[in-house]
Amino acid sequence: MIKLENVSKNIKGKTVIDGITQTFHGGITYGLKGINGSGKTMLMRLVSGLIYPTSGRIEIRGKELGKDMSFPDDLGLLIENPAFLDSYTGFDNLWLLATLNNRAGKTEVKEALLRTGLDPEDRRKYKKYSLGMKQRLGIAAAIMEKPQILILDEPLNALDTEGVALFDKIIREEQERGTLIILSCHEEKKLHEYADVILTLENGKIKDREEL
Amino acid sequence: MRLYRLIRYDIKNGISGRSYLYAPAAILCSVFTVSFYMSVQSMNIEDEKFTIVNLFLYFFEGKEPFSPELGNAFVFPVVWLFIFLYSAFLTLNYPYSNLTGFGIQAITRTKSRNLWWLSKCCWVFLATCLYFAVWYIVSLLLSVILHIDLSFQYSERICALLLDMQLQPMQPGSVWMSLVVLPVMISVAVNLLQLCLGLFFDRMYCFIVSAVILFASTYFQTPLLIGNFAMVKRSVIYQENGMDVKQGIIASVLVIILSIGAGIWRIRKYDILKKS
Repeated sequence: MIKLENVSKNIKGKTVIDGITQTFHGGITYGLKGINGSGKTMLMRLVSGLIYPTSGRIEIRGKELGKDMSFPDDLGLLIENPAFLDSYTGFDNLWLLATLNNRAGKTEVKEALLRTGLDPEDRRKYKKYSLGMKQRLGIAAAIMEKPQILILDEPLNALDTEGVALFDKIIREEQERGTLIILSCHEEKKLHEYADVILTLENGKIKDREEL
Repeated sequence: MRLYRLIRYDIKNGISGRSYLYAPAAILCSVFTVSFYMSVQSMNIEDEKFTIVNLFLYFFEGKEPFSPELGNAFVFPVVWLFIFLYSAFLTLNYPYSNLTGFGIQAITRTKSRNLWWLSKCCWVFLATCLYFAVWYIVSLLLSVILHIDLSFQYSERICALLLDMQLQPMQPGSVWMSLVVLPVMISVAVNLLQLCLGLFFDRMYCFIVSAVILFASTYFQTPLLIGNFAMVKRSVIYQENGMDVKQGIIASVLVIILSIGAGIWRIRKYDILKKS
């Protein structure tokens, strides 16, 4: 469970998140809706510990983010455009990341690549990947350690029809696993398809909450 | 263990993956070495023993204390400035470009901002050491090729004629400290200070600060500008009131500790944002 209490964030004098109080529960998929600059990505950055609130607090399973922990345990993250090492293959990129915390072995890395429709044996370097393949690799990185919290910012960007179908399947599987998912998506129809709760953001505030 | 993994990741990503950045250093080192060798040859002093220490004295001679009142024109020590500025440039971009790209995946997996910071400090240390190793190895190889004597001795005549230096007698330990240990430590200190400032200011300003410290060091003789400690012409082996090696070590260690400490304090509240 992630609990935001009156969280605000100012960046260079501008309020990007304004007094948000919201609880995110495990096993529920939250869809974030709003125009560009409404605060969706900033909210995800706050929850993932990349930025800390100027005021208010974020609590994850009773521990305060930024005080008791730097980043949430068990986090899978895809934020803005995924970035990987150009001279490595998809598998090598994920394997390098997996060795940092040893929560996924080679089998899990291969499985994550297959789930996103990428070939673990593909020897092409990341720099040769198309935009859609890069996005798939970003999704694979987010899910490979089977995290309890999954934050996906615009996961459908650059995905083709097959990629979207695979992503639909991934979301269903993650929901069955009981993962807390927070995602943003410009395609409202898709957002309604994935989410249990839709939060509409405007000027850094949650303007509307819709349970589906 | 997690720190070890992060350092290993930084070595792979930030050193092996950017090894091309060391090529200009090797090329410039070759150019400077050959240029100095040709200068020595043109002096027609075949009986003098030209050694690798003479070459290192040329690299790290720096600039004698400057007195503007004498009406002298200030000439920047190009070789010395290049060596230290390129070292600062080499370590400028990776840590923060990494944090806005692939590094986000890495830092969220290691779960610790402090570990990320410490691994980047270690990376700066290793990248700087490797950079100087490139200089020393290239000059060593060229010395072998050009038949420059590999010994801890040096020709006083070459120093006097080409470098305008009258040095105090140097023991091998003193040569080692003045021409190897101190330049590397001072460069590590400047680069770590630059890394630390990157948590507060834009990277370009941080490089400008490093450049100002180095340029100002060539102009002013003061222990407050640590570049002074890495110049032979500012040291006690060149002038009576020169900079002491021990003071240089202490000053660089202080800058290193303060930079790491300030970074640990700052990284806890640092916003990891895309540059845009």
